[in-house]
Amino acid sequence: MTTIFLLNATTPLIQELFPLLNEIPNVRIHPVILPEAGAETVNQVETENNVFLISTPFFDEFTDFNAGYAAFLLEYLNSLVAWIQKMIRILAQQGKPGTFIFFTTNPNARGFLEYPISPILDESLHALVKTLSKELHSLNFHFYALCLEPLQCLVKDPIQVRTYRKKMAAHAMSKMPLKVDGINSIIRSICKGNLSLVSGSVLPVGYGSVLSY
Amino acid sequence: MNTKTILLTGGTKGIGKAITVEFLRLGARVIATYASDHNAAEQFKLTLSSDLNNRLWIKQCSASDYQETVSLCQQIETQWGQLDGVVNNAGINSDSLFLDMELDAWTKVLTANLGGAMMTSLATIDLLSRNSKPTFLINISSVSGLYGRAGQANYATSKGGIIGLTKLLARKYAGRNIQINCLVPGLIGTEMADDMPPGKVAAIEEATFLKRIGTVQEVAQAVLFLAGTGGSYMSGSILSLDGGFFK
Repeated sequence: MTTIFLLNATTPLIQELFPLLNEIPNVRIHPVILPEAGAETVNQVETENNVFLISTPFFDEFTDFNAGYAAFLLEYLNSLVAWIQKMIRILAQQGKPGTFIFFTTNPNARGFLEYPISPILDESLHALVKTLSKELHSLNFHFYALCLEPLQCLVKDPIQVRTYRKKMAAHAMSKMPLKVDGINSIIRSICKGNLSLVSGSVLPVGYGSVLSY
Repeated sequence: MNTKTILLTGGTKGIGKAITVEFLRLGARVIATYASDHNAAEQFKLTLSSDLNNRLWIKQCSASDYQETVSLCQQIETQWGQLDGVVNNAGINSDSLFLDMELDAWTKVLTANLGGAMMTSLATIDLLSRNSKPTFLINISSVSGLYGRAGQANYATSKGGIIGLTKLLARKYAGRNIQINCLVPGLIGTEMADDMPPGKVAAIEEATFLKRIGTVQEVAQAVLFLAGTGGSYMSGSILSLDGGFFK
């Protein structure tokens, strides 16, 4: 039995993913909202396999970067890490493994697509993923960051979809924005432990976009 | 660098001190800030000749305090009329394994390193933009931010954020004639290295192609490169200075 914890379950990405994740056999979903819920929402973990999908509200640092955002970002990282640390402590005490998947944008993507990016948050999380995977690998904790390029579920306006499709045509093999079913299949592989050898990786998910790194 | 006015955070100790000295030697006017170590700042002044001291203004200012840095920028503009460059160097560390890490240590390091770089950049960018000549903004990150490092979750996260900040600022302020780049040093012979257990330093030296740690002068030279014409076609670059550190 696997529990998938959805951090920030109200983000559009998680809402689109929810029904697909629900179809995975032997999986139960536990939504958690940060930072409102803080670290108190989960006090024990009952299943043997635990996967944490960490989605952030969709920031666009390109337009929103100011002193207020900087202060908010530090606060957000503090609350996120407090929660992650608490979960790892609970799991470590029970001798259970854990997998943490961070959804980020591609910090190098903006420019061609005018797609909202958050490189400060992304690069912070990427460094955290690399550090924690090195540090906690021996305790069976695995960490991944997925760099998502334009997601169709985040671009619901048909005109916007068409615009992104045109722009993607020059840069991506699929010539269209990414869909959630692609993300779902990656998550399934990670849940099964198929990708444990690449723990600590930052995986660009963009249909072969040349903007990936 | 003659007649240029440069703001350097964390400019009185370690790497920052060496950068300050190099800019002063080249004739620049330097505003070196420090957060709390008043003694180190006083000691630093005593080591400089009067010629260099005349062009150095040491000022207590917390890099992560936006209002304080804005007010410092106003003083710089009033006194010298312009700002030609900023080096976001201020940084601290408080290493421990993630499971043992106190939230206070996490917050302190993140605020000082990432918060300091973000707030100083935001506070100075308009003043840099108003300069009719090319200016520069250089962020000092770390190999920990690029590759991650066990025992440094807080430090690595903050330094990773500084790399992202460089990418963002270079895009956001493209066209304003500011060279915005990032330097990523490996282990450098500073107090931070002195505080490490000897075995750890030796292990890092062994894992480095050049079999030694870097010197503060080498970092200062790289900063001068990015600040000068060497960096004129570099924007949003992440320049490693790590002796071939084996990742």
